[in-house]
Amino acid sequence: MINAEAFHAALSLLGNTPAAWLVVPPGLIIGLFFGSIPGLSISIAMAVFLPATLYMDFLPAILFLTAIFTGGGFGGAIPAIMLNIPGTSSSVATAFDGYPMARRGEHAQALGIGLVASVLGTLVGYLLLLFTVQSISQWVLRLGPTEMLVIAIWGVTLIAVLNDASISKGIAAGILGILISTIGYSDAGQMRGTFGSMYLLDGIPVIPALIGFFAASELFNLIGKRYIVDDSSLRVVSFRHILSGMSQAASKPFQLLRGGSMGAVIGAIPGVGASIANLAAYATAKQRSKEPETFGKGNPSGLIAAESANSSSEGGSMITLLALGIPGGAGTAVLLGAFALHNVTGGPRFIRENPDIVYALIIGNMAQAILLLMVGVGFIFLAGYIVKLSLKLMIPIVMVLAVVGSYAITGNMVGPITVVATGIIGWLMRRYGFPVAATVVGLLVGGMAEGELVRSMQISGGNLGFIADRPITLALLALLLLSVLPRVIGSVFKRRATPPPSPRTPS
Amino acid sequence: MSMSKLTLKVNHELFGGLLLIGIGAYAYYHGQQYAFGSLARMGPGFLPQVLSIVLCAMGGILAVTSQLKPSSAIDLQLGQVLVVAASMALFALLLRPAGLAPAAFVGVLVSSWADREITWPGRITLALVVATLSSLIFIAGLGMNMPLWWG
Repeated sequence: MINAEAFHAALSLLGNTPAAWLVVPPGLIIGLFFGSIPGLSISIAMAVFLPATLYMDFLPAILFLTAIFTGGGFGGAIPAIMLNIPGTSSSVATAFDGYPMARRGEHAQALGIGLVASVLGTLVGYLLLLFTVQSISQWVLRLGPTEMLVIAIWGVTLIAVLNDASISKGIAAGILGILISTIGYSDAGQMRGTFGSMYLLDGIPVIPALIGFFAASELFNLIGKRYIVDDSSLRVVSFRHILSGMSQAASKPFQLLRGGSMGAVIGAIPGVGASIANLAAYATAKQRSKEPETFGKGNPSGLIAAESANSSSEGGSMITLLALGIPGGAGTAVLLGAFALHNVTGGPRFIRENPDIVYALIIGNMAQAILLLMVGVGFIFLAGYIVKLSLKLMIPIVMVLAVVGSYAITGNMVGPITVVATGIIGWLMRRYGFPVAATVVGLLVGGMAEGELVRSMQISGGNLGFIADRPITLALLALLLLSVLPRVIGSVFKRRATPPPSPRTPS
Repeated sequence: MSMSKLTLKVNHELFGGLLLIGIGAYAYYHGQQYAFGSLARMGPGFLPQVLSIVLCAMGGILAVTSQLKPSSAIDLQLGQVLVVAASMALFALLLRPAGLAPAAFVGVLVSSWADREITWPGRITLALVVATLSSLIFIAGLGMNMPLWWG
């Protein structure tokens, strides 16, 4: 199950890379900060800090970004508990019981519970990864180009289909991303879609485009939004209350494990991730509870389920990213961008050739979870002030980070211009209900998908019927259809007349 | 000057569908200059052309279904977004010739135009703080290769 030799190599690698440890606390704090400001999302933080990893080695770079990921996971719980505003879509269920607890004056306990649940959830997710990565990668090595093509299509389709937008919008967004990825040199060595511009020879620069789609577009979206926060009683936080919340959570290990394992498994499915994991775990906890009527009225078990599941889904989504090179959501899409920045291609070959790095990533992330416990307690004291920071102060900061970062990536004006252009496109897409994450994933996996398509058709001699002889391809196609079909049928039979009420309360 | 006056009201589903058809048609037209090849030997034009057709189909579905549902209009706060986008572009354009600190100062100053409540002293303070912090982080801290001042 665990490659012992690589495990030891990973430990010594971590021991000999002090940079890997130095970048973790700032990463956690950045994640906590961005997660706890209502309206900002973790993917903004990860996208604008992605260029900073240009100055790091691969291992510290990924640990820095996953620290933002982990910190942001708990950061999102802070406004959900204190203000009933989920900082990110992954903390929607956190607000169900967290906010009623805060209204009873138990916000410090609720934050303590959330912190322990987040830390243990993260640990559960990465433990699962630790035990499965070796066997999964051996299985994945048997996948040929056709299978990889189906998996790439699966990744884009699930992100495109499993969200609030209509299916046709999701698919259109994904295709748009793949079309953008075809600009520049093709696999066959021919230039495409450059419109005679030498700046487009290498294609649209992926990382500035990612910053534009995730961060700049959200920035434009935030302008004019305001979250009204006027309750000053929430500032009082006592250490004793945090501790009592923490021990309350620790006394329910079974619930932590159940939420954590659900989150890890759900997180491994591309396109699903934390935003579904927290709701699913909450529903299960309520169903299995002896007193389901207390859920939604401040039952700590609901909070534990939601927070352990959204944190553990990070480890689950890393399985898909590492083993297949497919991002399951916005956070892992940024991580895949970091892979590209460091000329690393995710997938079975990466795991086979660098098992020490893979294990070092996993162990590093588990250590991060423990560090979050300490950093998080300190952060809770500041939380009452940070949730009230004006979004308007964050707009110039995100702007400066996006422009300077993209300039650092390309070394010329192409980076910042790409950020502004994709930012405006992404903003329009968001306003019209198109999922930008599908476009980014299409852009990231487009080149790989085209290569696998060309290769599998070469092997088969252009005969589409050959997939009948490939049982794994057929099984994957069946899985793809099964996971998409319920959503398609649902949307055909009951067209929603009105969108569901948003849990956020922008004014 | 009120930014909120500058809003567009359109049936966004229909508009989006037609826009997708337009993008798809253009991409198809543009993709025709590259060899399509065959299934066994795909040319560089294969994927772009096939995807453009699917994109047109999705646009068609959106445009048709938009007429079946009650239309909802979306307020685009175009003015404010353009101000921030322009300030980002200005910041980027000034980065080389003027240096990071002046570029950040001007960029933040212009972007604060989108904020109707901020006062002039608030604007200048914010711009000064962001310019100082970014100079400290990017040039002193990370040692990035860009000028601090002009000249």
